[in-house]
Amino acid sequence: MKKWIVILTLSMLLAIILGGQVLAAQPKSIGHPLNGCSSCHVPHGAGGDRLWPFAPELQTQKGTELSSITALCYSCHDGTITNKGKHFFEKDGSTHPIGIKPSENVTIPEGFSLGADGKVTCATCHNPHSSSTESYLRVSNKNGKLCLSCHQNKG
Amino acid sequence: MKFMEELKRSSLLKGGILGISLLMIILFSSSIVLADDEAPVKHLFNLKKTEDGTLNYPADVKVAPNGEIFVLDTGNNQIVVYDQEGNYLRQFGDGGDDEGEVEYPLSFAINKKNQIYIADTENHRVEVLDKNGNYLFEFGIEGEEGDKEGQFNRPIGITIGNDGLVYVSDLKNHRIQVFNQKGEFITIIGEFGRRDGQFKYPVGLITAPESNDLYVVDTLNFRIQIFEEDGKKEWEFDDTFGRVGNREGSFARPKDIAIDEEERIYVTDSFLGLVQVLDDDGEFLFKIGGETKKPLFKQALGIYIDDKTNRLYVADRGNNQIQVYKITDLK
Repeated sequence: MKKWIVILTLSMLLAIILGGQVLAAQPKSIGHPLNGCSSCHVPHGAGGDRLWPFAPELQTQKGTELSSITALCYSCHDGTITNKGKHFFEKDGSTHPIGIKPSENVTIPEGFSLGADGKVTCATCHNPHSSSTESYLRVSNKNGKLCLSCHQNKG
Repeated sequence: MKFMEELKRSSLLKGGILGISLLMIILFSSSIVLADDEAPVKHLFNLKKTEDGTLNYPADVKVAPNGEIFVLDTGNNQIVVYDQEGNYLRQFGDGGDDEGEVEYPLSFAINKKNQIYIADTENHRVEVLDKNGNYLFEFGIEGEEGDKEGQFNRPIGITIGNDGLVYVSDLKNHRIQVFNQKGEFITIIGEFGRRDGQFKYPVGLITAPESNDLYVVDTLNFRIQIFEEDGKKEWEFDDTFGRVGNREGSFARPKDIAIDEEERIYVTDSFLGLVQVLDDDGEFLFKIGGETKKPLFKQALGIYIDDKTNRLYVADRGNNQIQVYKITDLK
């Protein structure tokens, strides 16, 4: 009898430990309140890289070329899934230009990513994975802190 | 030589080779698809011009029973009307929340009396106009966002079934609402979630021509869901297909849906920039567009098939135009 109690207790402990590890492996905060990772990453069945690899080329209304990361953001932020941010594409980045290379007066801090072509994308200012600020900004823009992160020389 | 002798003797070896060969044939044949230039569609023309400029991010397009082509010129908050040859006829509408006005509408449907039911998205209502833009009535409680019965939170898709009922994708409530044509509430289908019969940001929807089954583009569950009506104005989940991905039979950002008279299902994907055509089980048949360089579509959204002419209409938003095709293997 004692033997069985010991075996049962150990099994339950093991189940709790393993189960806890599985649960812990799920990201608690997934940034956008969407479908988790697969909204933007294709772990299986992808034809290439870690994000959706085959984005058709995209330009703003004025013809500014945009990166495939920006195209991915736009696939929801085009006024359909959400009406937030569509003005960036329809009016060439009304709050801040996108698809442009930073000038020499600007220093992009570490953690603020540029696209593969060295140009500004949505992910330069926004962290889609997690953020404690409004609109998933990398840094809050209170007192212009976000702007000053790059525009230290006000250039 | 030794192998050949073994082969003659061993039925197991023969069976194994046959089995592997069959498997290779099956795997290989399932990856053979029609190339783009074999898609049975022929481009006819594009609709682009308005009275005073061009369309601006048009989201949807429909053909009325009277044959006129109606385009939802979303960015200009108006509807533009063309004839079957693509000639401009008239336009109406303005931005706002008054009668006859719209605010970034993303879909519309036309009934047998040529009356237009607009999913007036940012006004959280369905507004009904006649074919000249005269206001008839609206529904959606007070035009404010909400989650009560008959209330909307960014209504984004709308279709009128063979039964004459009006089906609305209530996007941020993650559900479909059903009304009669007077705007009287009938029922709600679905709720937020990933299981069968649940939705995550449902966008486009349509009823099948023969069965009147409801097909919903369940966008951020990356699938199409099919519902059957049980005869008592209740809809039961019937089937689903689709998965996330960029391969055939998978979806990236599926948005709208159309069904032709052979029950082939056409789905626009605004990220991959294509129309994917599937059979009723979700098996890939062919695609239109999807190139990465010089893409045919830029954010294809609304899609419509006019079964009188078997023409396919695609709202090519990023190019500010509607592309019009003939489906060549239908009459």
